[in-house]
Amino acid sequence: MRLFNVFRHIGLSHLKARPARAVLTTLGVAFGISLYVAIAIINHSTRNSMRDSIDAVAGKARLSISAGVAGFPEDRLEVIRVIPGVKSAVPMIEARAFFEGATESADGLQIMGVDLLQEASVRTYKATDQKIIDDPLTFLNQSDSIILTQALANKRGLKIDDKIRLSTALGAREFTIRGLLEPEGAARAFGGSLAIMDIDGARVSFGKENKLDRVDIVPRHGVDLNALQSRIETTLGAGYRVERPETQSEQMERMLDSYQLILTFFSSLALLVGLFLVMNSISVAVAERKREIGTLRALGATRSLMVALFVSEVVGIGFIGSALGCVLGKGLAHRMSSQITTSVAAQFQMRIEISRLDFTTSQMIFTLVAGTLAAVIAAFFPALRAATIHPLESMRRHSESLDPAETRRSNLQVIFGILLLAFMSLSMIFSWGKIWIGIDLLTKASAVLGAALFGPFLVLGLLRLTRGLGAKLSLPVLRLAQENLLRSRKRTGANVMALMVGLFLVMLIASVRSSFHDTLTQWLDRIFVADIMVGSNGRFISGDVQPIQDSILPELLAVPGIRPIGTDRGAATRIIPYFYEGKKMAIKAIDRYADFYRFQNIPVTGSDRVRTALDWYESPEPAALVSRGFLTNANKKVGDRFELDAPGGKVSFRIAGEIIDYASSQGVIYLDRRVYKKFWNDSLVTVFVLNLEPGFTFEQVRGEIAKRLGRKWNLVTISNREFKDQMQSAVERSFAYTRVIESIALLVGLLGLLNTLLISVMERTREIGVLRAIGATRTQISRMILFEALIQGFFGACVAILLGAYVGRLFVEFALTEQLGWIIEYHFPKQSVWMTIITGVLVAAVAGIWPARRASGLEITEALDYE
Amino acid sequence: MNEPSCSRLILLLMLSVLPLSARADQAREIMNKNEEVRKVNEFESRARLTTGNLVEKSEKVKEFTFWRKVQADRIHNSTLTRFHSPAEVRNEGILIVENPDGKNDVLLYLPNFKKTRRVESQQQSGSFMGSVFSYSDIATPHTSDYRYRTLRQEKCPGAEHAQFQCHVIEALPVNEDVQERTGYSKSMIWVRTDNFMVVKGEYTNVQGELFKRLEAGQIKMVDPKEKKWLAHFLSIENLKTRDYTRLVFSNVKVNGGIPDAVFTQQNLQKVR
Repeated sequence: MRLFNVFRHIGLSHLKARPARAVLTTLGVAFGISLYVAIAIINHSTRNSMRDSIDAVAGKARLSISAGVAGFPEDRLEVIRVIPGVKSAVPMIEARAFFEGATESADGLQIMGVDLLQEASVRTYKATDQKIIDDPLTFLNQSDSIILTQALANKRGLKIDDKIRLSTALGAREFTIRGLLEPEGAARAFGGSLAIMDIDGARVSFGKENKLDRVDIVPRHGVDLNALQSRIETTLGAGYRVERPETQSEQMERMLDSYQLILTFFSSLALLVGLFLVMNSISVAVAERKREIGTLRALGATRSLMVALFVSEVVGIGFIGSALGCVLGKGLAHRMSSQITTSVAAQFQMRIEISRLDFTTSQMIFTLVAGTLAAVIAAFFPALRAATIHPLESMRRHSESLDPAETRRSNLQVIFGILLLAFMSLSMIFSWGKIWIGIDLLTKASAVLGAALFGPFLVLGLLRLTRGLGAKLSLPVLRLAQENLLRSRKRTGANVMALMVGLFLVMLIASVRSSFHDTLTQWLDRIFVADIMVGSNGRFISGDVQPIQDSILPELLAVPGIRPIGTDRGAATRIIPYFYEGKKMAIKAIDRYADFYRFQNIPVTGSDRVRTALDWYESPEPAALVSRGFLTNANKKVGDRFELDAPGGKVSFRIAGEIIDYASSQGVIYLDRRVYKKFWNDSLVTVFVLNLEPGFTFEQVRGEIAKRLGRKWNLVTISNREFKDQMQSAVERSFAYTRVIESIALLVGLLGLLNTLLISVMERTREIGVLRAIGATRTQISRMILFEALIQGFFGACVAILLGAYVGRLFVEFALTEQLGWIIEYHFPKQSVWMTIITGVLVAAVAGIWPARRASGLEITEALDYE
Repeated sequence: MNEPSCSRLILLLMLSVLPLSARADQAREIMNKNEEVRKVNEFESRARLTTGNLVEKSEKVKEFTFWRKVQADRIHNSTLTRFHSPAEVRNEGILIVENPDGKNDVLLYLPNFKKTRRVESQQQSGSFMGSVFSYSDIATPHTSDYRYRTLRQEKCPGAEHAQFQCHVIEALPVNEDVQERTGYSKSMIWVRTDNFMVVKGEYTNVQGELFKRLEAGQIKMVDPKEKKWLAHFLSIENLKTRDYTRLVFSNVKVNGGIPDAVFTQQNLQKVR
């Protein structure tokens, strides 16, 4: 009750007296929380959608059998059906198709080729008009029959009996929509971007004749699932994966874990900036109300009451900010979800369509409680400082710079910041995060906290270094601003901290982005020397294209302008995902001496690249080139052997050398396509890479390919330059979501700076009055405050660049390899340096305008009467 | 409750149970006779299957030849259907072989893919190729699959049978397998008292909703020697969707000597 009275009479009156500060602090919390909420919603929804898709596709099946993208022989189905304990074994063909003319992954749809005569035993469908198929006899006998989800049909304005053109292994083909599905049962999968075909039609269209991609097993009642799984594995032998749907979910979730952890880390940074804002706000309030604190203490208020008073002022701010953050976060999640889906697709070569964005009540309650609590914790330390103020100390007037306790505290802050940065560096270098996830989180938090505590020290150092600049430039206002900033070290530190953390985040993300971009560009420049690429619809860069039959190659080579190549020198590449010891890798099966991978361009590491490439090409036994990711994950070295499960059984490969390839972060395996075709029985090709005859232009050849083969095969021809542009845009797209994170962090930083600048103007009302009394004009006062803001923005940006680049380097060289498997070189983000500085100065300018106007608007008498 | 009243209650219960049992025996006897009179040893016919919807006023027609033969066990049948029109379904064939275990083998031949596909038992309760008939409607029902009860005797429904009396019989599947295969949890059947042919049926789905109604017409004796009858016209309606199917048999030949080899997968795949 006593606390309530103190809050009502003192705390509330302060909040009312300083509405701008309360609003800015609340907004800071809200923006910080919003990003955190958005990422939490997206992460949660991505997992839910993935789980939903797996469950929806599995239906009543408790086990599913697969053997990779190339599929396995159809006759295995009869073998599976007679395994004791199997009630139903239902086959499926899986394919990804693209609408004609598609250039984006989002224009693709998942094809489920199912045996509609057996589906009822495993999956359910609900049609929009009671009957899924109007005429099954026609549907089953016509290979152009397709059923779409109602959602997809609505999206593309399609209805029953309409024709659609999709890219298939046989080129562009016309399909007739013979049914529409409600979003129930299996139709919930893949966010509704799904089409059902009869299995035989799908086989013909997607180059899977006499093959199956998957068999779903419904066990007999009471059968021991583990025993049944073992029986199936034993019966089928190597090359087959027998999994429960929940294992598939877990495996996918494990894959997403590290990625989502990084997203959460980035989003937490914005929240952290918001909390700095709360901390600063309370710190300044404590300094501002020092006399009041002393009076209260002298009147008998206990230390705990003082802590409680300041903390109670923040509870409302924290709660309202969190509530606002929840609302903003939901909107932000809608805005960011497609960007993150694109980024996930690029990272894991799988597209998870988010069917709905879930923000549960329990999540909302958790956010409200956690947000309020975080604000309270942020306020606790400055409140504790208030409690330690002695009544006598509070009555004394003294300069902050002369206060030895303050100096000691500042020094301690710097030392603590350095220690945190040192811990973060060691933890990243020696991968301590692997020991326990808590250490990993601590490492990331240390990077930010260390930068926040150590950064202001560097800013003050830069200020000291440039102290004489104002005098040299004959700019007394600049000089005055510099002196002011140096005199009030604590206030300067507080001002810089929030903005600097925002800019630090910008630089950190820029480091990662530029490292990816530059590494991939240099790699492509080195290996990709072919003139053109020919493939089906989709995105070449991610391999997310509809593969086509290699029988098209002679037709392609007959196109005038295509350079003839020797009989054993094909030009085809097949890229498939492959799970090796639970890690999703990529197999690139390439034609021997294919132009794309002419041996001088094979990205082999080591000094004798030609010899390694030749050793691989000419090896009498199956040999492979593998990436560093593979060597690390498989714990192998060059010269070792490893086995791959092919539908034809296990195949042993000798590691002929190490290559650099970025098709998968977990590992890339280069195989000779002849070996691949033999063991995988797969003659599909992801992309053809060709060169031009001298005298022919790319446009001429592209036109000729389109004329001769384009319509029939639905081919897309792109140039070397276009391919590289696609890569650049893919990197941009992968990082598109980080722009939102940067913007929010900067916005919160801006609010923080605006808040602290406003407070500092208020604190210095009397000082400004004196300046005005001795002749300073309103313009000079306004300029002085603006200069202070600009100087802090500029130096804050410089320090953010320094610290961001340092932490970014560690992040790229250690954390990315450790957590996502990417082995990329660090590239300093040169272009981002100027952008960061300009952003810092601009944000500071925007934040400084209002306080500057406020300061210049003060009347001399009013200002002198202040306090 | 005092003792006399308790005895009266037991007596009442006994009296009420006894007629039930008697009615069940009578019903089974009627249905056995029904199975007997419609069991033509061999039967070949042209057929016209018209499907449509009473609301949308749309109709599609398919024509096919139909062969049926009683298997060696004299109980179960084998049935082959070969479609002739429209062009999209030409040469498609469906072979239904009834098995003693109650599970029918249903194979579908797709000429465009040159493939034979098996229809799973759970799918057999579904539509027979887009018609309101299910596969199990096309396969003949067996009395051993149901528990019967005579409900009443009344004038047969429909103008064609108005001069005849009908037994109204309730049929319940004996187990879940039968229910799964047929999709019916209960059937009401009107059986003519004179020739024991079904003239009407009402079928309740597993959710307990009345959802199909069957009417049979043009009931003619096709084998006077063996006293076998055949309904040349069947009409079935889905009461929920208002879809209907009419099946008309013509050029009916009985006991013409259909070889067993007609009802094999090899023959199913043989396209003339």
